[in-house]
Amino acid sequence: MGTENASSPSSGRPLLEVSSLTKDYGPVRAVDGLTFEVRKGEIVGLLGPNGAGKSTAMRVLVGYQVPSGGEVRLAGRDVFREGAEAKAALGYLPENPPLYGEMRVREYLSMAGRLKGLSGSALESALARVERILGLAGVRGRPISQLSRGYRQRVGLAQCLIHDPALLILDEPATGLDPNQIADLRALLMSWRSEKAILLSTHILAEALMLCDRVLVLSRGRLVAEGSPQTLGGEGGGSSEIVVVVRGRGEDPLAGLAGSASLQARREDARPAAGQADGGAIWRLEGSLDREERARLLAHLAGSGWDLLEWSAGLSALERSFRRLTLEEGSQREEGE
Amino acid sequence: MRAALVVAQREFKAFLRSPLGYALLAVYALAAGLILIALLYVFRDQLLRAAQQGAQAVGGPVTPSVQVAVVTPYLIDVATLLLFVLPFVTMRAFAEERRSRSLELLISYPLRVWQIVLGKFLGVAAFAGLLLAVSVLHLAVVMHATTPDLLPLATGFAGLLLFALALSSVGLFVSSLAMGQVEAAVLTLGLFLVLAMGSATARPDGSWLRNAFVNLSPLYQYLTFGQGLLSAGAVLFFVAVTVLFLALTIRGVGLIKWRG
Repeated sequence: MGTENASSPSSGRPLLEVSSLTKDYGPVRAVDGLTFEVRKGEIVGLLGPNGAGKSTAMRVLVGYQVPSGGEVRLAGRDVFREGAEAKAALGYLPENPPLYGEMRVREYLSMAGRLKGLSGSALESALARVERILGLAGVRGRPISQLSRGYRQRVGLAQCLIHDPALLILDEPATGLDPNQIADLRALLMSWRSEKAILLSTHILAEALMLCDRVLVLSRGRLVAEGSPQTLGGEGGGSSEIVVVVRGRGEDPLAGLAGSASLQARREDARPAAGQADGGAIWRLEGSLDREERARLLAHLAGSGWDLLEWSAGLSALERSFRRLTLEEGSQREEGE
Repeated sequence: MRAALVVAQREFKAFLRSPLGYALLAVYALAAGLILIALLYVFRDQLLRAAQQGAQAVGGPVTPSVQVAVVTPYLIDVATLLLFVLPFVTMRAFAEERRSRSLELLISYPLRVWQIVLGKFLGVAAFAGLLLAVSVLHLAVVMHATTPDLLPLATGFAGLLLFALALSSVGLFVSSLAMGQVEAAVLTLGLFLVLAMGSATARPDGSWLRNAFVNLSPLYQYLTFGQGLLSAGAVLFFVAVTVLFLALTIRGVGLIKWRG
């Protein structure tokens, strides 16, 4: 979780400075007064439902779209007035990276490196480095159009990293990846944390919880909350709603469990089915527990001889907070308008 | 400049790796080849007629000029053919990059817009050069059989290259504004045809409006080149059109950044 992974952000100048950023499409304001910073040594998550303005905001941050107002600075330079110089510090991965399918992997990365100012031995060593980090050596001669989704994403990341930028902006980097690939991606991002500033957009809250030191919640283009995933989860910290079904002969599965006030136990079925041995009563436990409390409950049930029949987790505190922020904020704005 | 050359290399290779590139080369080679064959048939008939008339004339037969009968009409017809082919060469340059969102990635690189536009232009120009190389091969066949003057021929090809570069820059500009490559091709073709009409409406006693329309026609400007003559006005016209539309394309890409 965020605090567990936290490294210390650099105290120097932020690598990404966004102030009062707005972007209008005709009468529609897609991004509305966005202000935040990202420093070296931190991973910041841009959260929001589909259509919240995350991708639009990222396109403005990387200089692809001109803002209607506000300022964006990459490594201290204005991305619109000093575009080429500012972008030298940037590695950008758009959602579903748009690569040139007819090119071979090595050829594409070489082109990306040369466009980013590398040449000669510096280019060769950069190519070797990104191919090693992202496991692309085995496919370097293959056309990109023939690669799997996971490898295409890796190529997208490789072009992003080829010039070893200080700032990474990643738009939904885990989209379309299988669980193994997502785990690999997370490990990579964690390994880059200490030396880079990373801004990633996602709507997968578990990803934000695992990776991010800070999250920014966008709703209808506005920043409606900012803080660590734990802070945004509210007083419940990292608590999740859980439903547990157990079976046993005891009187109360929660008896003897310290701090069980947030759980409710309800007896569901006391009688065994016909012809079935009497295994005891079935109890349903429901409540909201944080990670420590969940571990204590599990240990208690196992130690007391209860059979665990079912364990399901519901919304986490961050998910609840996310829903509240994005749904309530949206409806409040509609009422206001 | 180095970055522009990298973009140009990618653009040119994309043609050589796509069915579209080969289709355009094939269509151009076939159409230009048929034009040449038709002109050679006409030239043969002229030779036969001249031989028949010359046998009866005092002083022997008057041989028709291969420059006048074949080379000049071939170059002018090929210029007309380019009006139909080049819109399909330039259509992808920005419209397709925008649709596939690869332009978004390109603009996030530490490049200036002019480097991207110049790179695209050079890539398209290289492919246009490949098309013209087919025509060089065609006329090499004529040169094998006859002895046309090399200087007018070289002037004609130089003019054809300037003509292609100017039209390519116009096509790139339209591609930078269009939402898709089909839209870009149709709009470019329409624009080329309107401009080409100017040469068809030329009259010696035309009004200033008619004269302006005629003089703005790339095909009209090419006519002197086709005849093997170097015209400073025509050179200036093609260079000015190329520079103007490349500058407009830079503005067009800037507009993409505003519109998204």
